[in-house]
Amino acid sequence: MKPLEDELRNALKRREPPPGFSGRVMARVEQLAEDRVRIAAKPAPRRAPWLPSSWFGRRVSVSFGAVAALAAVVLLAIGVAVWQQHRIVQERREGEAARAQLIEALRLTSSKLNHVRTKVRSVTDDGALDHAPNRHRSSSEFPFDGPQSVALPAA
Amino acid sequence: MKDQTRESQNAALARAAAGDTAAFEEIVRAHQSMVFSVACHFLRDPGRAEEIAQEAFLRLYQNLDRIESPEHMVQWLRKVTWRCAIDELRRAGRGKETPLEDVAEPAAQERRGDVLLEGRLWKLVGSLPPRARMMVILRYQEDLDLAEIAKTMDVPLNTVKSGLARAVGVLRQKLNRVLGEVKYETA
Amino acid sequence: MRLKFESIAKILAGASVIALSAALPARGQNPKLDLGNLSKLADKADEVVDVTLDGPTLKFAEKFMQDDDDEKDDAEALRIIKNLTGIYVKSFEFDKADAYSDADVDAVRAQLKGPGWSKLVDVQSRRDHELDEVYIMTDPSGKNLGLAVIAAEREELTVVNIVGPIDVDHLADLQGKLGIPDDLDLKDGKHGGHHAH
Repeated sequence: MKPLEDELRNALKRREPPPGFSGRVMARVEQLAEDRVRIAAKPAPRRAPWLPSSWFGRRVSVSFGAVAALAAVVLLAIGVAVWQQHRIVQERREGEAARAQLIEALRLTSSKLNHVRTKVRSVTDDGALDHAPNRHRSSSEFPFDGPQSVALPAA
Repeated sequence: MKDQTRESQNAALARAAAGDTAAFEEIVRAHQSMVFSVACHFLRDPGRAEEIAQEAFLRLYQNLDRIESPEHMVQWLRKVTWRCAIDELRRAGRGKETPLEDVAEPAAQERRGDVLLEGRLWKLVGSLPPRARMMVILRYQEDLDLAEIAKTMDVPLNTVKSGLARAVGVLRQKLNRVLGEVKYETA
Repeated sequence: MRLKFESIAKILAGASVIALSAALPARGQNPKLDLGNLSKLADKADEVVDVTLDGPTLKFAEKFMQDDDDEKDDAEALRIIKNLTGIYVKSFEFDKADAYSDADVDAVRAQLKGPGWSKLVDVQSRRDHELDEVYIMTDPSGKNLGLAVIAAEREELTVVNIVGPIDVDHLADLQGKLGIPDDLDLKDGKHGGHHAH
């Protein structure tokens, strides 16, 4: 009979991704690199070429300052969005950590309480030692009927 | 990268961090099955698993300067894959289970053992709650010890101890029910 | 006879005071223990669990828990912590005996002699060198206000303080539900200390 752990290792063997995976990753990496280069490129020319040279019959001249200001606003908006995303991720991490602590605390406390309950039951059930003269049976699982002090027998 | 010496692993990492995309592609090829498999066993959907795996490597590319060593890189990749996978699960809902037949077969391996059993086990693992599922994957796919699992998932060690023990117990019970009188004991 | 407005106001105020007094703990009752003196044991411990979850942090943690069938741990925990305002745990595992002193524990016990605290159980085992104590704090009406557990063994010390109305039986019954196996049988390989902060 094969141990379950061996069967789990078989069932969870590593699998290769579909063919061309690394190529698709590298395509995204290159796109990322191009985007970085674009942002770091020289600033736009003084005259924004995409604006019509005449607008309502008047020659429109867009200063470099205006384009730079627009770029600054866009970058600021992107920066804020990135920061907000970072905050969301950060908050989630903190929340997950708090949750994990809570579960751990409850687990530990439950374990200790159950341990005490088991010990008290083991002594009072067999009647070997009963140091709680006023103890009476209760429907409650935990023998919290009143103060109880038990000393377990030494080996 | 399995056959490469530690020196060449360090060298590839250093070149990739310096901007050498060919070196980075070597790194992707060396670790793609690990990252993809973790995501695929967790999400049970090869399409979403590939997106997660791509995302994990992209994040690695953007953070290469923070990676201290090849071992650190592997731990880092596992951690980020877990985070991306759990985020994906939450974002997209639980999703539907992909039949085992649609998942890529293990590459160039001799199939041993009971295929039917493996399939059932794979589905049973997929039915575990997300955290327990990832603990089982990290333990039995990646052979991590409990401390490493705790570090990867950012949870206390005792949580891993108890969570993993319960998960294996549940799998054993469910498998026994499915397979009838065939009993599986842990080693 | 018509009561004057002032008289009615006085009657209502008096009734409110009485009602509030019944709800509030008696003067001097404080279910939150000061466990600061135990922090120094962390330096000597092989493994430490140090949890401090006050009211706002508990509420924050609750937001990240799921009350559904897929996360049974979370659902059980949510039921337990409802209305709690604090959970504090200090647990130390040492690699040798006598790493902590009676005085370390007595500083905590002294607080448990304060108003409202009563010892429910203490279990001593000379064979296992173990002493476990459970205390509960109740208000004058008998409502639970807090819980304290001291589990002292030769190489391990755990002190738990829970602030708020806790159902002790329910908490003990979590064994087997909160990720706690009935038969823990897992080799754990490398085993290092960790802090849960």
